[in-house]
Amino acid sequence: MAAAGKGTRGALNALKNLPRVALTNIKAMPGALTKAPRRMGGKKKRKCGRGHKGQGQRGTRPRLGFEGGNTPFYLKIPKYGYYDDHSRRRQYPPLSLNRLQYLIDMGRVDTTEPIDLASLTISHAVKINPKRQHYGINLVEEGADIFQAKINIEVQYASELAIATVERNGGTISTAYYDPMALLILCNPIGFFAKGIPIPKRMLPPEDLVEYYTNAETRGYLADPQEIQKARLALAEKYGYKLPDLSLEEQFKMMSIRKDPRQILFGLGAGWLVDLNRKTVLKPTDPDLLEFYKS
Amino acid sequence: MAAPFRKFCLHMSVRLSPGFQAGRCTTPRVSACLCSQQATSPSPENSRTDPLKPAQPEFIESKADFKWVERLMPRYQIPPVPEHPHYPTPSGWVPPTDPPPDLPYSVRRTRFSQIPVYEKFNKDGSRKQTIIAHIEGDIWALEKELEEFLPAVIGRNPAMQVNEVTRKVVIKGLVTEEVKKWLLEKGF
Amino acid sequence: MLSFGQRSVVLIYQSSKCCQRLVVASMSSGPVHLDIPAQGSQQQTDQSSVLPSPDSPILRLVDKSRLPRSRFSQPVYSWLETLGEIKDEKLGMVQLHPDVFSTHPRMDILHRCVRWQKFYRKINYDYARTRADMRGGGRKPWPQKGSGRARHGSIRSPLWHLGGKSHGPRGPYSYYQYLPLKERALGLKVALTVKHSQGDLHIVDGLEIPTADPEYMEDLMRYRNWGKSVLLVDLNEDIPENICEASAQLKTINVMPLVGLNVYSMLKHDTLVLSLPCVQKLEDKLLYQDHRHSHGGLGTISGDRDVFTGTWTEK
Repeated sequence: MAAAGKGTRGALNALKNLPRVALTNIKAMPGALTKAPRRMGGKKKRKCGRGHKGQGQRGTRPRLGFEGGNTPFYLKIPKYGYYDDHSRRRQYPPLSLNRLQYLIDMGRVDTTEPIDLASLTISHAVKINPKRQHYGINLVEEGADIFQAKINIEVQYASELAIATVERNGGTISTAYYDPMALLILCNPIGFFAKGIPIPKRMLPPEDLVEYYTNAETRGYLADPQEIQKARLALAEKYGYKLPDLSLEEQFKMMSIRKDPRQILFGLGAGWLVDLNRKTVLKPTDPDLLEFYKS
Repeated sequence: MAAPFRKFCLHMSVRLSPGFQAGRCTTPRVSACLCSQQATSPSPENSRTDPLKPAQPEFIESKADFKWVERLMPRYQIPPVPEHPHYPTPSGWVPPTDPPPDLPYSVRRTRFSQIPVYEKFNKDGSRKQTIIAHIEGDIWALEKELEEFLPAVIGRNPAMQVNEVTRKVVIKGLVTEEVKKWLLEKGF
Repeated sequence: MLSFGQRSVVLIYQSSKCCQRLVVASMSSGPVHLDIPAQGSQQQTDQSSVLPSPDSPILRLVDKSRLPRSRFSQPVYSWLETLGEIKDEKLGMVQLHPDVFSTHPRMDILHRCVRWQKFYRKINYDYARTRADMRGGGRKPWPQKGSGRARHGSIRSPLWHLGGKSHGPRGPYSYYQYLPLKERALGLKVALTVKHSQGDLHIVDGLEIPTADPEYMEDLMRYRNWGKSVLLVDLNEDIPENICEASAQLKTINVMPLVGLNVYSMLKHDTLVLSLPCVQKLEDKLLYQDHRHSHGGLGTISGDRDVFTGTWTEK
């Protein structure tokens, strides 16, 4: 049937003159419902592809690595500790500056507000799974040459060039530690609120990470702010760019927002309860609780 | 960290809901413990509260602070791409031309505003294909233009499949970047 | 005004074997399908809101920002009709989104949706006894050797007459399955498209009819050539009483709220009648499927979330 027009328009024009589409006259794509035939007939009838006799035909071959009774290779050679603790090591999935710039261009990350892991996960920018030993994101320097956004970002790990790139554009960056429980809340805040338990206190970093997060050069969240200012100037000198004066900026207030070291989500303190049904936030007044949750 | 935190959770819940049993319910629900005014009144078992004193509210309710929670609602809708002063954007994205190009076919952008050209491999990686999706209009016209364009890229006549039902063109070999660039230049 | 060409009406003659469609030209009522709006007053209406004015017959316009930037996906149009009187009077035109009412007609998707709807509620109770389920057969019928007969171990072996069945049906067996959400959404779009392009989609201002007498609806169907069966869809569950009473007495007229709209019912009925508010809701819900992230991973309390709009229900 000659249809007027091509593509969708032609198909719809053809439909006009065809019988009414109903339950009785629709069918699947050709071949969609046919199963792959069993390998019995035809050429493969005699051995069905399994060869002649023995373990091959009967499916009784020994396990992989078995050497017929010898001590197998994988038991003979001693193990070496490359992969000790590999299942418990902290993982930091990468977020490149390239990707971050793309997300900002596409309007998926809002630069007018501080960016933390929560704002990245709820806009589907990164995927963090604390159950797989993810401890946050690693801001990597790929795309440092094209990165132009001015942001206030908080990550868990960042390379030196990535820090320099963010600061060169007039932004600020800090690295912060979140314990696994805090990270679970950060990745799925609404799911946590629905449980109806108060927001816990963020834990302090473990011993081996204290040095990283108190270091001004890595912009650790526990570092002295004056040291950080010195480190910013030093980094600008090292990479040869002029550090923009933040206090003159319009967005100075936004750029200087930081979380409390014991706080998990922006604007919500430890010990607070969120009632999603009534759309309220409940803050405890009990002195014992306040004492427990204070930072 | 869990031990003191959990202890305090349970502690609070016991005080808030008279019928609460710590052994049976490990995670108290908001609806169970905070739904009404009864919840904030002191429970009779609680020895800490003096029954002679008037009941003290143990929480401050704040509707204003809920704006911080609203910011955390998951966003499922992909936002429209904002206007940029000049293109390409720093990350190299270019919008489709407006008005759309005057061709017998059209390739529509994906929901992420990208050109819908994909790679496909079979299980062992021996069959490599490039797929153009979201084609509208005359799909055979696109195939004809690809036949003229592709020999310069791959050095032979292209092997192509046209699926009129799913509106896709499948090209043998990996020419994703070239085809994307070609479609961009056409204005899609 | 608009150049609708020769308005044509489709009559259906039920012969003993098959349905035949005959096109009878120049009658006062009938389906209208326009691929491209003709040059006329429609093109000049650039307002993105509903503007019923004497100049413009279009009573509803699609939001311009939601239209795709493509020469091949232009809005389609439909009459706005009324059930208030039997006479087929048009109130105006309604603009429809091309991605919902003029998609590519994927018949295979329709088939998959219908197949899914048939299958997910199906349970096969067929049951055949195996050799183990049958009575007896524990004893070896005769010695292995020496009798000159073939060796057998049980009289209920599948080889035997009155033996057990091997690989028989072992019911109850559930055929429960599910299609991907996007495929289900596409099925709805295709079904709406097919109904619209075949002239079987009618948009009415509301489902109010003057009387609860079923003959009124029968007359109306016959006068407007709506075929043998009609599915009427309203936005909410508070459907007007008259239409409920009338449809309750008629087997071929069914009424359902929009949440119940499905591919199977659309294809089962000859004609689909949507009330005007349904159109907006349908477009919102189905277009959301084209512009969303995956629901997986972050799905927190799936019961509270409307998967078709991604919104949280108000409590």
